[in-house]
Amino acid sequence: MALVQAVPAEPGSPPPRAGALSFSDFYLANYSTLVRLAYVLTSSAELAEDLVQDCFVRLHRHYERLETPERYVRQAVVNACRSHFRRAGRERDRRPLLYVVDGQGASDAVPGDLHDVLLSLPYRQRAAVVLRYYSGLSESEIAEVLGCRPGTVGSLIHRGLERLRGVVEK
Amino acid sequence: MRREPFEEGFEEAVRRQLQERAASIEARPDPVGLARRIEQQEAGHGRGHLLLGAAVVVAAAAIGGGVGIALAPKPAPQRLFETSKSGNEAGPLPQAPAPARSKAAAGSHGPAPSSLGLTAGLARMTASGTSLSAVQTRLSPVSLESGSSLTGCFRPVLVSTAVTGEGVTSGSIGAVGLQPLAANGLELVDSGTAPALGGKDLWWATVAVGGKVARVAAEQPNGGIDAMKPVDGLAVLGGVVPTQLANGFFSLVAETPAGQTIHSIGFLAGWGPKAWGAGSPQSALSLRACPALGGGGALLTTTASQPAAPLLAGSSVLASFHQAYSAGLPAGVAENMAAVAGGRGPLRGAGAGEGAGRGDLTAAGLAAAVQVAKVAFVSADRADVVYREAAGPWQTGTAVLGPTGLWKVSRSSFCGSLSGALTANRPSLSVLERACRG
Repeated sequence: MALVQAVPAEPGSPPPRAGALSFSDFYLANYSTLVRLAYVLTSSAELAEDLVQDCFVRLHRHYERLETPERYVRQAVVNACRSHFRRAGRERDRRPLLYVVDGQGASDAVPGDLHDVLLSLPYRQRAAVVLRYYSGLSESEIAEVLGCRPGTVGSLIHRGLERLRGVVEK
Repeated sequence: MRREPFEEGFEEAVRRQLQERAASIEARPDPVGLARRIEQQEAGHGRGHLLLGAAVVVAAAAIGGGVGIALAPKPAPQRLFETSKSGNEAGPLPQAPAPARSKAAAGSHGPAPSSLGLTAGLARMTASGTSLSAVQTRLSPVSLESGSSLTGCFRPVLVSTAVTGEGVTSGSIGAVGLQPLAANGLELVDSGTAPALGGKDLWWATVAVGGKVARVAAEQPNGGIDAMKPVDGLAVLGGVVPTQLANGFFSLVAETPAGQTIHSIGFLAGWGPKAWGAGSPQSALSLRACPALGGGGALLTTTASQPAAPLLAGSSVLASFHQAYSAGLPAGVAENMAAVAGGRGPLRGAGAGEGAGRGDLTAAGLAAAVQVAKVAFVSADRADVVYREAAGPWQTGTAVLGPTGLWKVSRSSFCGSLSGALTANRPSLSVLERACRG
């Protein structure tokens, strides 16, 4: 019984994963975690919810065929946040991302705090730091999400942390 | 390149601040919003395929304006679980509607959805202190056949309504999503009355509306009015009337944001569903039967004689099958039998407290209890229904039109199926058998 049902697999597609959660259960189990991840990446709760809902819409079409939907949707959220900033960057003609004031996507960040600085990081640095220290992923897992080598992840994290140093209260 | 290590505690501080930041927001799942987006996407795919000449019609396109899951462009965000502020505004679904709730409790609902988390709904308290809640649960696709004029695949939503007041708890079950509603359309999903204390009756009505309806009001036979803003296309109204008026004529009014009346319909509480502003599915959609589900294939032959409103009739059939075949309903076997021909329905007169938890129960049992794959009207007052209970074998049952305009499971069909495997998990089987014999 589910409010949202996964699209049945098409003929010839791999069989459903044994013992997997239904799409509804998966949604309910993972929604909050992913919204919080998107929120830390974007600093906008409204935008985070919107992006995560969109990711679940995409996941819905493939859910029955995915071995690890958790990884798929996490990567989708990280990519969706990056796409948002790319679009926003184009729309604002590459003005700074930090002080977004136009409706959806408005940042909740307070200038001068950790997230002020976090949002000013290049997106891959920001995502690497967040995935490492908020999501607790290993460097190899982060590399998979970001589509780069694990060594690159180490570098991204290190450079990101250097920028954060000084605003983080220990 | 060698990287200098950060000072002790720095990384831990980053971790802590990120987690504190993340924990500062409340992220609550919105399954109805997700369902709407998915269906919009599927509808878009369906239209694209049609344009390309592909023979793909997305079944979800048939949903129409049922409970706010519409083909129209995405409406302004409207949260399903909002904070209740007054008797005329819907609040979040409480964990379990408490019987005889005090008026002071209005607005004190917690934000949490039902404990099972798979349902979506609304809850409110009227000015007269009647507590109302409605829970929606999406069902699997259903094929509807009605003569040669209509064959379609629909994805209905089951709506369970609970009402508490004057020391009594009762409720009813309806289905929406078969009837495409216009933006200003109004559909009475289900309604009912229940005897209460002091020569009074509770009454209630669950209403689905189109996206342009900003307020729904119901007028009692004695002129009393209950009204609310729809939440995700759904409104639940109710109150208390003197018993002698409970069988009187109620009316529903849909209003625009400016307060103008769009239209109204009259109804008798506890009678069959009715609608205003409902479109013909053929006019908007290409319809075909659902892909065959197990035994849900072509078993049935329809005739030229059909119900006047087959979509509303189909909703009534679905609601009755889910009510009849669900185990563990709040009022027990009596509630099952209320959905069987000859039984009183909707459920009337459940005792105080018996309906508590009805919302959660909807999620737990109603939708999962039975799967209806096909409803085929073989005459104006009879339909053959392909269904199965839980994961049991597909069966063919019968629904018949009752005197109040509600369709119910035929007694021979229901009682004849009790010996089958489909009731293996029903603890009250013997009670049901006695009820059938009685």
